[in-house]
Amino acid sequence: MRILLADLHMQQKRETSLKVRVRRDTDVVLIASHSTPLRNRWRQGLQRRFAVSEATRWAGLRDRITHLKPAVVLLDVSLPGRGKLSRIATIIQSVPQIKIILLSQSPQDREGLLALRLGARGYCHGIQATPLMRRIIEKVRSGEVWIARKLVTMVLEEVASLSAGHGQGSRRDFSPGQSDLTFREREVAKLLVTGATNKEIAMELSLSEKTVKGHMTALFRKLGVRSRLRLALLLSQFVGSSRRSAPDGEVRRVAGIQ
Amino acid sequence: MADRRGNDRRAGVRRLRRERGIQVVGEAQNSTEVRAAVDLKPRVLVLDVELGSDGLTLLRIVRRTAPRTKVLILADRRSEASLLNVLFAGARGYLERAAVQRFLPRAVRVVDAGETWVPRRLVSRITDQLVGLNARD
Repeated sequence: MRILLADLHMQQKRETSLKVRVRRDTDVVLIASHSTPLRNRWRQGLQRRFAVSEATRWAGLRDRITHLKPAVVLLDVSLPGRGKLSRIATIIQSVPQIKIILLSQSPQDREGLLALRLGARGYCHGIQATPLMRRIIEKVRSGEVWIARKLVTMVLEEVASLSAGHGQGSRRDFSPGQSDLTFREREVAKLLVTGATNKEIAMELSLSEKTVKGHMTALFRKLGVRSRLRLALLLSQFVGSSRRSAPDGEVRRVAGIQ
Repeated sequence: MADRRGNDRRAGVRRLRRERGIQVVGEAQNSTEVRAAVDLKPRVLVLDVELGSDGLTLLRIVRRTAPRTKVLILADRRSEASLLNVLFAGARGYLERAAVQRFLPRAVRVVDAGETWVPRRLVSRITDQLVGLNARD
């Protein structure tokens, strides 16, 4: 009798854990924000349809996402910090398929443009009616990009003006805004992405290390990043789309960045 | 309203005529009629992308001869590959035929207001272009 009861007990336990397993097959949505009311609101609206996870800080977020592999991330722009949006490039670099929807309490066009350039899949106001939020997540999850209509116009204008800078038919060229970087800066950038050190770049381009460092500083300034690693990460996204741009015709992994 | 498919064209016109604030000033079913129609200086031209031998060329001509006229392109679902070409040739909007009854008046108003009308489903085609380019800020 005892054995029978124990058996039944085990079976119930198994069934419960099976239920949990079924729930985990549901798409995971990670909600990342400092704000508790905001997280609560999103979680309450989404937990029926999705398996909701939360994050409250920027530190460790990339690792969290790498392990959790959520279908979609709702990321409050205040988490990387206003003006530090380029930080999300590190996440997208680590988990290239990740779909990040950036949410802002006061959406701004320039910020939205930057978000898209960095690889975000959505940019909109943090407060949405719950059915709409669910819809946004589902659409983004299925591969769409979600932005305000006005932003679509801006994206078009941006693409058009940047393409004009590159000339006909070379829209997919890796070279960052030719109208803004000097020839040397572009050369340095291309080598940086292949993992070269300053010394190696200097040798390759027959320049002094000091000169290379000067170009590096200019690159940081012009591209709005503050470190070599961030610069490499930002640029390396574009190398993938244009393999012919690496100096020796093949793309080497970004490695050994000091 | 420029559409070589008569039934669709008439249905589109009827749909627009039901709207307050929208006045249909002309119809066209071939490129000659389109060029005549733009002389009327409509604020918006709804243009079938397959009209004439080359809808894109016609679009560019319209943009040159009537720069103030905003063009909303009408296309079959099959033609979605040309969304970017259409937008870069100067159209302000891209509307699929299947969406006409539901969205034509709204698309016309949005385009008239200076915004862009594209199927939400296709927005990623435009933003994908952006990710491949770097920029100043």
